[in-house]
Amino acid sequence: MKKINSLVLLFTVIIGLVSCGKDDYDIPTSYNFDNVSYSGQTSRLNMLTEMKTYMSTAQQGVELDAQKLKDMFVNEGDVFSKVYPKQIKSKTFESERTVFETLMEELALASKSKVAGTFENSGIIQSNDGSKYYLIGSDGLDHAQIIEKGIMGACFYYQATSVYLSADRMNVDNDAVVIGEGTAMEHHWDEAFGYFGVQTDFPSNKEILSFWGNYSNKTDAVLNSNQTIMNAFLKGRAAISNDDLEKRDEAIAEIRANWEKVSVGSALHYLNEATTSYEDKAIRFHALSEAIAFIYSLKFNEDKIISNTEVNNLLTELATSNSFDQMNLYQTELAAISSVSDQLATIYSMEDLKAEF
Amino acid sequence: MKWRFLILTLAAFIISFVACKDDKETNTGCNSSFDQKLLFANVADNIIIPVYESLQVDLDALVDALDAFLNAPSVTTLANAQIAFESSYLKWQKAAQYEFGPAETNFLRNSFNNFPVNTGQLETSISSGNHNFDKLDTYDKGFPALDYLLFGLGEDRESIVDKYIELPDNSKRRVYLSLVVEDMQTKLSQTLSDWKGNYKYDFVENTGTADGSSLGLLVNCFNENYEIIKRDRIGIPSGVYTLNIPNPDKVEAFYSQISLDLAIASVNASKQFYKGVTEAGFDGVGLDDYLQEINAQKNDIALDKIIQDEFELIIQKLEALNGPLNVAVGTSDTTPALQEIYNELSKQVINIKTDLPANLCVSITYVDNPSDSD
Repeated sequence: MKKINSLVLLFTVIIGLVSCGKDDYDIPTSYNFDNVSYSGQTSRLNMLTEMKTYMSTAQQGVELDAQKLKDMFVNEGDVFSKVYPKQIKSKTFESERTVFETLMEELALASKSKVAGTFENSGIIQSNDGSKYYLIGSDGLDHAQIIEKGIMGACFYYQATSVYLSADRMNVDNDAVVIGEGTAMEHHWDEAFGYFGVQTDFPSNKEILSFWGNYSNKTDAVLNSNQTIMNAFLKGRAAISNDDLEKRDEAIAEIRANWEKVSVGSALHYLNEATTSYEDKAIRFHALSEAIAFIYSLKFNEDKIISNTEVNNLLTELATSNSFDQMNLYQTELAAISSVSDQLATIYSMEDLKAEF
Repeated sequence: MKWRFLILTLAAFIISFVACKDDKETNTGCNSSFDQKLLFANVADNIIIPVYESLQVDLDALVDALDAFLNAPSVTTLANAQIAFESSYLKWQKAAQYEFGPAETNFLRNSFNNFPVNTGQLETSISSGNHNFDKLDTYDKGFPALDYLLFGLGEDRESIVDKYIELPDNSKRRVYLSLVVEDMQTKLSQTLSDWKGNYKYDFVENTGTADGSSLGLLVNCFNENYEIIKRDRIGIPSGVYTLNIPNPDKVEAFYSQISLDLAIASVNASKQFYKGVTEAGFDGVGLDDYLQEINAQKNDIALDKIIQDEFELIIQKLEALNGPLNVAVGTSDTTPALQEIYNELSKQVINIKTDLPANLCVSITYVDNPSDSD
């Protein structure tokens, strides 16, 4: 018995030696690591915030300038309240860059309408209770929503889950420390975190939430996404700083899977809203546009559960086409909304949760 | 009992220690008796120079066909120019992989085949009358530009011919078409005359395995070209780098629709070079003979056999596709057939980029597709 024990001990020592990594390290509860920098990501979040603010003025009848929107997209000229050294367009999934520029043109054109929105004319539509105004195209799309949420998917979500956490950016040097930026691997990880849009002490601090951080918080009651995603970012960053690549890879999988669920939950939420407010055209079109953008965003995750074909089919069922410039929401019937919601929930095994979003 | 276990654990420790180290099997690649000069002479005299000469003949024929077309634009003269274009583009696939020495000096690969063509940039180059064919990163020249100019300007030949009729609106386009092919002619003939001059002798005498040796150059260019096949011809269009979303517009020769033929020709060219097959079709001294000579093995199988079998498999699978590639890639998810071809292409990278250089004692010195970050 004693012999066996000592042998086990020996083996353990050897295994420890061979695995070469350090198993014994603490994972902090907030994103306070050495040499963290993701100012480029923060810039892009702020730039999209300014674009969103500008686009939303169309709801009050302001005519938008398509060129200004496109300039904001590439950060050209004096279009922001302050100087940002970055641009959004070049980091957006390549095939989608012109898609957003076309949407910007359509939005600006719609904003010039002087009549109320109908299936024949773009224009502002008021909600039944008179509290909300949305600029809706003659195709039934709220273009501002598609642009904002679409960029969240094709840029922020894509960059975080499929660029910075990809093998290409993770199989890099983890020895040479650049002061203020850490190792190349640490820096890539921090940049992925930067796109999540939360403070370093999230979720105990939920004061300032941007884009995905905000939607994580909205789906948190059902998915527990806030703590799950934050923990995965903390775990992975600590793992990298301690050369524990196995744990890092676990964390990558957790981030991808749970961030994906946030987009699914957000889509389901807006599909529910479109169903309950089906008779309220302003709300219906607005909510369907949000749902469409969150379903579309699902494409941009390297490890997604859904397939691109499934995404395209869901979009087509909901809006007669999977490309934004061919969509029409005036023909969307209640049955289609409920069918898409069911299919989406089934793909993600969320049948029981579907109604809670 | 105790000792036996101790020895076992010690053995396990040593094995695991050894496993952590780089595999550096002893081989004879660094000091073999293989006559490198035979290889280099075959490659220079019977492959590279004849391929360039043959390409030059094709380009001359293309220039003649384009002249005839511009002198008398018609469906017939256009069709002749298109045929001449296709055969020279196919020939180019054989010439593409020797981007060192004179070809490198003349930027042959970038000048001939930066694809996909950037039609916006191309139209601007035409209308402004400003272009710089010597820039490496422009996509308005070479075969991709001709592909667009001869096939992409209309639905059918009649409407393309309309774009070249002698009218003021067409004059800049007519001039540009000639300029594109003249630039290719100039760079090729410069490359060829460099080869026929001193370079050939320097090349054949440049023995050894150091960086910059002829063997190093050949192995590096062979690999670099092969990785362009893998990444640019198949990988990018298929969507394997873009979340499985295909990019049909990124194929080579999008407008003439000969992308699949070109892809097959390019893999064939890799294989033929590897085997040392001459332009005349004779199986001369190649890297295959080198590997056989030093008896290079991988998992107890001859490395040469592994490489040749993999080439055959890739060509077979490509030939089974229904082209052109922009159709074969599908619309929303990577098609299984293309994913499979991409995977096979990737397997061969290990054989020719890791195993082959290790056995031949040369280093891979080029950097493949660096990615930026901020």
